[in-house]
Amino acid sequence: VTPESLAAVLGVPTRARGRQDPASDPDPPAIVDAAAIERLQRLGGSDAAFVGGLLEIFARESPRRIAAMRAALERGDAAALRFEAHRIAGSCRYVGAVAMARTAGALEREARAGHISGIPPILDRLHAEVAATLSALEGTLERTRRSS
Amino acid sequence: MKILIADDDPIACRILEQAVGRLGHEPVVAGEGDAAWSLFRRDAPDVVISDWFMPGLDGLELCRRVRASPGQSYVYIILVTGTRSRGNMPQAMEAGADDFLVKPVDPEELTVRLNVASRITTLYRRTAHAEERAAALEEHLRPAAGIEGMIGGSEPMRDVIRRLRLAAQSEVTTLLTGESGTGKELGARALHTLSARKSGPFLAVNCGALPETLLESELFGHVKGAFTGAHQNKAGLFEAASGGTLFMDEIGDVTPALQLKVLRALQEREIRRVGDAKTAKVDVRIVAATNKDLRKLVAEGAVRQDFFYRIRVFEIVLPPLRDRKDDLLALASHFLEEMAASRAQPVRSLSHEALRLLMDYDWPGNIRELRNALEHALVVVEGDVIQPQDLPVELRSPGRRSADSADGGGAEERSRILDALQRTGGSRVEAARQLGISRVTLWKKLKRLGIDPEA
Repeated sequence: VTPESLAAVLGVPTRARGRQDPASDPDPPAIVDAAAIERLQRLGGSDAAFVGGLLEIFARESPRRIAAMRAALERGDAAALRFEAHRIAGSCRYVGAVAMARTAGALEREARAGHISGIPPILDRLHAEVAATLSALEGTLERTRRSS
Repeated sequence: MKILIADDDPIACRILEQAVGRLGHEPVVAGEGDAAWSLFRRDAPDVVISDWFMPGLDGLELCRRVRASPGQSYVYIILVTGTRSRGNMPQAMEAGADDFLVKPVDPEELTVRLNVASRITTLYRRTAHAEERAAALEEHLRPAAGIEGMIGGSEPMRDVIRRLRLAAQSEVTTLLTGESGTGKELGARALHTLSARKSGPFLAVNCGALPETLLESELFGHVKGAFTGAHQNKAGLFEAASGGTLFMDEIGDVTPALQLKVLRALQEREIRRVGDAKTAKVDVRIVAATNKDLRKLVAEGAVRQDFFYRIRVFEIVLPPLRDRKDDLLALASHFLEEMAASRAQPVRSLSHEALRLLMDYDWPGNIRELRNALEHALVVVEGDVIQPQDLPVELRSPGRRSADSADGGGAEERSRILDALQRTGGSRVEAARQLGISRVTLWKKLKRLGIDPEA
């Protein structure tokens, strides 16, 4: 188990991110990056449904990716696990789902290292993050829409 | 630009599609590598933006396939990856990628990269267009560089080469006319080499150098016992040149009786060996040449009218050297290089003054005379540069004029011939060579001018 995967399971930043004492930081780690949503809104321009459409895809695809990872886990297929983790991490980065991106990144690293036994808790965490992330993304989108 | 987006992540695809579309480009989206490859072949995009990791055909392999595809224009490839790890950039470049982006691709950054892509593909397209134009121009100018030893880019020579190419595309009997030494045989050889008969033989006969009976036997062959000395059957040039080209030089010297036989051979495409009862089919292209005015000979009755029209279906006039002085330097350089190579000597150059003498001379013996003059110069030259004094005397004498020029130039011609005979110790063969005329012509001139070389 790598420090990153442990941190992902625990939902805390790693030391590598420069936080020596999590207890001293009052702000919880961000689930979403509002700036990413703003960038996407700018990209969408007059297409008001653009970002909403992306979030719909994200909401549809994330459970599928997680299901595919569970299947790969059952097969003990580290390569497939790594591939799916890489894929979902990419999607997360695009929409600003930073927490899920971190977790998926940790999952990818574990799979790459062949630490299959360390994967189930990270996968569970990723699964658990989906709903909160979607909610946060939609909330951020709503706020961004209101402020623009 | 038409931009192919290849990514198995539908979110990435949608974002890139939007970014590309907003920039005014035409996006084509593929959800996996194999589909991207199909779309690439179908749509021929200008730019490919591909994810590195995809199921099936990955981004690297897509890169390699794009680079290996025989497209006309350059395709700019941007590879996208989740992480920038050491080693993956060189790998991407090696596979043929032009650029490298890390997810999430920032639309603003993509704008910059696509601007670069646009400039580069435009540059490549212009370069390719320029190369095409250069190749076309080169092809257009190719005759100027000479074909099969025909040197010269002057307008008269370009016209000759154009006509040679035209003649080579057909099977028409071609007549090459021009003064002695203008390169008629070279022209005939070029025509043969440019034609579909190039793999067949090229045979040449000087019709003016042989008596009628011997020429007939030479052209059509004979059977054993046909005449005294015909000890065995012998194929003539018409048969020997089958599948190729027969060059009949000095065609104006063929007697009317033999003209008729040649005419039949041309029309019927069959010949009869001397003394033979049978005819034989022949497949030969005739290229004839003369330095005589055949029309005049027709009027005088020396050339049959039907023969005249049959051999000059397509006429190419080789210009005299005095009418293509623009080629003189190229010709001189060619001969100097050729002679240096055959003598294993360094290539000599011409001094400015020597070149001016060459340019001022009328060259009655045309290219043959030029070659001989340079050969003469190489014999006497001291050092690497040919000076005026190294050139034959006729080039250096004041008021140099062609012996064949309008004034007739009898005295001058006599002087030139005597000079040549003196230089060559009375050798008519060598004198004719130095004068750039045939032995027969020299003999005729000697007779006309009353010169006795033995005296």
